[in-house]
This record gives sequence, C-alpha cells and structure tokens, in this order.
Amino acid sequence: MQRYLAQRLLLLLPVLLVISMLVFGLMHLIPGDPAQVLLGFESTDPAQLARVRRDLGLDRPVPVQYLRWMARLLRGDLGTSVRTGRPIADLVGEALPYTLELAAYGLVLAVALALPLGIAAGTTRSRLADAAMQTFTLLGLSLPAFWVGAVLILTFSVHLRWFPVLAYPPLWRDPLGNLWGFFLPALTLAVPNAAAIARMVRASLVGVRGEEYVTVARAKGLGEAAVVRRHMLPNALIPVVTLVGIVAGYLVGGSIVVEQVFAIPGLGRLGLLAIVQRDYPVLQAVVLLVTGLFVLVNLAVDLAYVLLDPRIRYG
Amino acid sequence: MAEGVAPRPALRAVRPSAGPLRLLRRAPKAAAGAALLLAVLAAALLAPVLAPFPVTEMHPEARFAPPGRPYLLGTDFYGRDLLSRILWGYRTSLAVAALAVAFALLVGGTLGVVAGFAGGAVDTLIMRVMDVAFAFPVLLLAITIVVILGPGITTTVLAIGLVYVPIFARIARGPTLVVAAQAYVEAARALGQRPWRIVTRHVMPNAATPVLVQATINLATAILFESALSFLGLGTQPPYPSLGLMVSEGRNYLEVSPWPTLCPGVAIVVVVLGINLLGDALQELLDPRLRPTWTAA
Repeated sequence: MQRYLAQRLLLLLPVLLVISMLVFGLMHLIPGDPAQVLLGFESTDPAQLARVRRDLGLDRPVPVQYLRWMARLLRGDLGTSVRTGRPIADLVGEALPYTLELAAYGLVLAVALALPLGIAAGTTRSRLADAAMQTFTLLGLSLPAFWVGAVLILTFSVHLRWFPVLAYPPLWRDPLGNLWGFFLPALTLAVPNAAAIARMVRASLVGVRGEEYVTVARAKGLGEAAVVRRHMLPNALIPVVTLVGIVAGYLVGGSIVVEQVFAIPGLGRLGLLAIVQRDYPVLQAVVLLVTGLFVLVNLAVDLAYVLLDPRIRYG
Repeated sequence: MAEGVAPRPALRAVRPSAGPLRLLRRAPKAAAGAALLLAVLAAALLAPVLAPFPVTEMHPEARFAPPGRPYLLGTDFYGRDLLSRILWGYRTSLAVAALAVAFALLVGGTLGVVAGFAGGAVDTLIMRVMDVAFAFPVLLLAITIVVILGPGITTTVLAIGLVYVPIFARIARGPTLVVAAQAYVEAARALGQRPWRIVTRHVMPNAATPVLVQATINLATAILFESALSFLGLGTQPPYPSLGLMVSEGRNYLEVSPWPTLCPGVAIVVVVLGINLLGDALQELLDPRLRPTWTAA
C-alpha cells in the first residue's frame, strides 16, 4: 500500500507539471500581447506598455518566465488581479469554500438519491421500482442543469417562497440557514449525477445477483434483506465507488454552471468574471486550482478503492 | 457466455416489416426515442418553412406574450416569437452537437485504432497524452479552449469535439487491441496485406459497435454541453438563436414571464431525452445487465 501510494504520488508529478505548463501557456495562447491584454485595449501609451512588460518579466525568454512563475506559485504567490489589484490568493481563498461546499453537498445529495433507487430497482425485481428508476435516470440525464436551476428558483423561491433567493450565509455562523440556502443549488448539481450513480448501482447489483455466494447465502436461510446488505451490496458497490469518485471530480468543475445560475460567488463565477473582464492571471489561478483539485480527488478515489476491496493490493 | 442463459428478448426479434405498433410494444424505448428524434430533426430541417415568424423579428407591442395566438409558445423580452426561435435554435444545437461528435469520432477513433494497432511507443505516447487531457474537468477544458480561440460556432464545435477526443480514443483502442492479437490478423499480415487494409477490413468493423454507442451517448451530452456553453455566454453568440442562450436571456425576467425560460428548456429536454432513449435501447441490446429487471428470468 505504501509503495502504491508512493508510486501514485510520483506519477502525479508529471501530470501536475504538464497541467502547470498548459495553464502557463494559456496566457501566451490568448491572441495579442499579454501586456496589452492586461492593460486593456484602450491603453496605447508605449512607456506604460514597456513598464508592464518589465514588471511581469514579459521581456524575458518564455522558459525563464515559466520558471519564475512556477517559483512564485510554489511559494503560494498566485499573483495580483489586474482588475481589482488584489492578491489572487485572497480572491481564490474567498471563493473556494463556496465551491467546495456546493460540490460536497451535491455529492451527498446525489448518493442519498441514487442508493435507495438503485437498490430498489436492482434487488426487488419490482416493475414499479424499475419504472421509477428508468424514468428518474432518463430524465436526470436529459435535463440541462442551468435550466433545472432556473425552474427550481422559479417554483420554490419565487412562487412558493420556501427557499431564500440567493442567500448563502457562512456555514459556521448560520449552519441551518446555510444548508437551507445551498439546498437548491446542491440539488441541481446532484440530479444528473444521481441518475448516473443509480444506474451503476442497479447494473452492478443485477450483475452480482446470479453469483454463487448469493445462492449460498439464501440456501443457508438468510433473509433477503441480510443477503442484500451483507453479501450483494459490499461486492456490488465497488464499481460504484469509482463512479462516485469520478462524479466528485466532475462536481468541482461542473459547479461553474450552477454557481452562475444561483449567483454563488465560488470559483466558477470568479473564473467567468475573469473571462469577461480579461483578468487572465485570475483565470489562470482558477483553472490551475480546479484542475489540481480534480486530479487530487481522482487520486483519493483510487486510494479509497484499495482500502475498500481487499482483493486489490497494488504494488 | 455461460450456459443456460435465457434467449435475448426485445429488439432482435423485431422484424422491420413488423410495423411501428409492434415495434412500440416490443421495444418501447427505441420507438419513443426514434419518434422524438425524428420529430426534432424534421422541425430543425423545416424551420424555414415551419417557423411562423422571422427568427429575429421583434414585436414591441407583444413583449412577454403568454402562449396563445399568434405566438403559440409566447414571446420574449423583445417580443420575438419563441416557437420560431426554438425551431431555429434546434438547427444550431443539432448541427454543433453532430459536428462536434463527428470530429471527436474521427480524430479520437483514428488515434485509438492507431495506438492499439501500432502498440509500443506510439501507443504509449498517444494514450499518455489522452490521460493528461482526462486530467482536466471537461467543462473547464472547453471554456479554456473558447477563451483561447474566441467564442463562435466553429469554436464551440472544436471545443466540444476536442474534449471528447480522449473518450473515443479509449473506446476504439480496446477492441483494436483484441483484434490485433487475433490469428486471422496475423495471417493477413503474413500474407502481406497492407496495414490500412487490415485496419479497414478487420479492425474497424469490430471497433464500430462500441464507438457508435458512445457516439449516441455523446450526441446527447454534446447538445447539453452546447446549451451550457451558450448559457454561460461562451457558445453560440447572439443574434444566432440557441436554446441555451434563450434560457440565459429569459432567466433574467423569470418573475415577469416564465415562458422564455421554460419553453427552450423543454425543447432541450425533448431532443436529449429522444437520443438517450435510443442510446439506452442500443446499450440494452448489447449488455443484458442493463435490461429491465422484471424481464430477466
């Protein structure tokens, strides 16, 4: 296990390196002179342009620029926002908790929706459970998240007034208000993923249903509930864990749309605002951070896999 | 295959001559999906004929009209007919999604077949590049591509297509590896057949099924993808009608009139649901574990 962990962490390095190069390259791939882009296209003063170029080190060769950027990055210095003049680390630090909470909440709701449905459809052979499951998953996978969000706001916030409109008090100050305020966005994020997970739970349970150990468990007189809980689920849920992990990674990136619909000041909105304002250093930081999170979540899932399945012993 | 497996139910037993009613009974998902998709395709193709109003024509006297006559689905902020805009929006959505998936299928499929067939360093190189692409969250990757290339219809096609390339490369590589190891491929090689001929005659037919199923699934996600990008203002640009853009414009006036938000959303659901139903039917045909639990013995 330790060897596997070391191996995976070592493999992470080249991936992170390539990602950092791509994100760095982003600035240079955007058409136009970065200094001009940073100053805004209204500014035509050559002296000012030269100063920005010197300040940013844009007059140095690109590899040197990259190394300097990396060195600053490793010290936790993400640079300064061109539009607000604030340190990007601060901006990102304010936005990150919103995105992380939204993703975590969305994941919990997705699993809470998916497990009962998938288990009911996968173990009971009830026509009703299967029809409910089919309807839910097909719809869940066919609904555009931004539209679901808008419809939820319209129904529950505007008309029924059950939920506050776009209020997100901090979790530590008003935990209930926070969970209530985040419910609709988290649900929006959860629905398509719950559909995908429920499908996997069902398919996986159907897959183990004919296994000999299930027949043996029944033959020795175990009740159906115990057969499902003790013998079918532990085996069937292994591939589900992988999918939940993929979903977790996706939620971090996929929250961009939901943040926009519900006006949540998270990383996604920060990134979109940066695009609109051409605040590319901020965009760079957001892309780097979200991608880094995505990679780390995927690693965590692979490790969880080893802990869950005693048959898998890497290394 | 294990022994004693029940004969396959559903689609295979349906003859084309059996008629739509029989098909509906034996394969309800495939029939419903095909019907929805055909209706949307017809609507998109016939938009110039079917649309009751020019797509950008404004009727200031009828802003936010509810569904009725003459605006069957109502109008938006500018008094533009929603039905006409949805019909034209379908053209954009379907064209962008189909082109993006075709691009991914061609590029990704080729890369996957080449990687699986060539093996060795070529395989390693191609698949490692694909792995790095997989390390990016898809929406973020697409947005980054849009920022670099500038928004527009061509960019949207490229952004979605590029994001899907690694998926098709992986899907095509698997069956290629299996086929490349078969004795008849070795025989074909020994007989001096050219590699591209082996690929087209032996490898491609075997890789075609999983690749096509994946293409169906991705067609549905590509439509959602295009609408999400347009919703964020990074996909189809105004004044081109796009379903995602319509929702984005309508959402600012939710409290005034829900129709400009609701109608294009339902339009998206209809087409994506149609494709997903077809995709499900296809997958069930290929994977017995996915079939309805109450039909399996």
